[in-house]
Amino acid sequence: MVLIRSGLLITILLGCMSMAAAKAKHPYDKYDHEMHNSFFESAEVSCEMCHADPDSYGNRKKVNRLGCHRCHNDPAPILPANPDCMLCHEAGIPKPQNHKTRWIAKHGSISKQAPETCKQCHPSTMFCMDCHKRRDTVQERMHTRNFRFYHSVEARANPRKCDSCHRVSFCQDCHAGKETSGR
Amino acid sequence: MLLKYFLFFMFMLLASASPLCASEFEAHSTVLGQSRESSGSQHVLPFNGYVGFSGKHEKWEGTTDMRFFRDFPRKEQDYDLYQALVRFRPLELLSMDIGRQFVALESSAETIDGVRMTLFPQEHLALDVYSGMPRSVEIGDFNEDDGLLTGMSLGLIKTKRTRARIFSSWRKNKFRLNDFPHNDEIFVGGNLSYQFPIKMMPLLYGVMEYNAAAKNIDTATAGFDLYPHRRISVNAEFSFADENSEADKKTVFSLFSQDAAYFASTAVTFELIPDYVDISPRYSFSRLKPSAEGWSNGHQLNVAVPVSFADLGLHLTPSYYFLQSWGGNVHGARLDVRETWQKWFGETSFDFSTHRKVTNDHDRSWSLIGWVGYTLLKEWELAAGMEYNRNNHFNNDVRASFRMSYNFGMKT
Repeated sequence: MVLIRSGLLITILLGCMSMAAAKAKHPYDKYDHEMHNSFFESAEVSCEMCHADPDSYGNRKKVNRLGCHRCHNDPAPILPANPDCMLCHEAGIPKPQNHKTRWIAKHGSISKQAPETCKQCHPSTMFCMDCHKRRDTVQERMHTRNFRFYHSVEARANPRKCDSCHRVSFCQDCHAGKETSGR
Repeated sequence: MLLKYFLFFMFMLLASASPLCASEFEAHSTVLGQSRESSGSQHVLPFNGYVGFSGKHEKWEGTTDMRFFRDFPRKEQDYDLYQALVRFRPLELLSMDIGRQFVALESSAETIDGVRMTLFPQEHLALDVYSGMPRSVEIGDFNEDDGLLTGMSLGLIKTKRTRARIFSSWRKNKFRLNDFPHNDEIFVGGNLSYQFPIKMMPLLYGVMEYNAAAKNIDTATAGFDLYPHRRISVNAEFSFADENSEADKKTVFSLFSQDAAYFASTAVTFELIPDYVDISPRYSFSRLKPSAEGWSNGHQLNVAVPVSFADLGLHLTPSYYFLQSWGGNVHGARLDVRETWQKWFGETSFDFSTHRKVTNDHDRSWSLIGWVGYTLLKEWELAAGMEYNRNNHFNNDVRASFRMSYNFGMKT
């Protein structure tokens, strides 16, 4: 009986939340083709900027999504445009394909090849320093709370990973009993 | 400490020449506080205040980020300056960054106090030259034995599907000494990636860095991404690492490895139910030589199943993790839940792990953390949190936390 009541309560709560949360629109649903055409014609921007694939005229999945970025997310835009990402990406900014798998471990190798590519979504270098340098003694950010008890196992599996953020003195101070609450 | 404050105010003086008429100004601040007991059963109350400003005006940009720390019961205080940077673009094809800045153009990522100049000699080329003293918030600034890092990097930019860079750098462990290869090291290297425009869209990438002073390969990495289906993405990577054993600078790697080390990793992300459920297993293998007696293998496995109900603002991620090395092994399970509802958000995480170490330390730990937050205005957020952490060797650990953050125009 308790289980049935709990299940009913959860179902009602989920129903209320689904009514309260409005479904975010796809960026293409928000696109005003007629309005944009008037700008493109006056600036002689060709249709192929977005419709490089001839099939894209009938199938919007084949439209070049990055065509929008040529004005809305470009340091040298073809035409002046609103750079706010949330203007189109109501549901959140989609991540690039290479972010899907093991990105935190491999991003160092790829991001250093062309840092300006990362800046399209992460313009501030504080984004990098937030993980690599910023000290936070309150929240569970780079490491879980339990990591303190078993980090010796991981350090011996991959000591290079520790070096990407820490100096040896960080380890030595803690192990020598020089713990401070500001570490 | 006083010198850091002086540098900060000098920077603000320079950057404040045009903040009121700056075409863009951004700021953010976060205050974090927590009440807890230290490992010595002493009550501590750490407060962290993070502040950042950024302003643009025609050919100038200024950015700074810092942290103020104070523990009131212990009367401890600290200050971290993460960056204090002025960027000047005297020409369209030239920019100069002066001050404390983050540089990651070679195999390592450093904060330096120095100068970086970026030249764009051609549409598809970017030449960076930089020099400065490396800084670390862990050891503080302006020490007698500060080092020097000088480097140059030539990158290929705005080229479809291709990224490439060659670089060289000269590192001095201590600024005043000239002593190859103990104090001075010279690195040369390159990295490259290319995505093939064919089915599965394979992306190949690699990086190699050679230590010319010690005559050894410091780092070599090769990997690939593969997208065999719109719902599947695969990554595999192989790495080699070997540090200069004669260098004066100690690293965690040099503590645990007496020779080169080899790594292999793979991961797959499979969209079980698109937009709702993914499954993401990751595995890493390592082989290194902790002592002259022999080699040791290490294993790391993590399997996560992110579940997302975007319409409900609900995200859950249960995961299992396993670690094994010559230090012991760890098994663990974790659940992270985040719910966003209108202006409210809630976060909960539960983490349970068991470990067996070679020191005969066998234990279980668990941690339960919860946060509740409210967005007062569009960029102003308040949150409160509680934690309960338990480990059989240490005392039970209860913590109460709060967070207040504000962003003004900041796009991070």
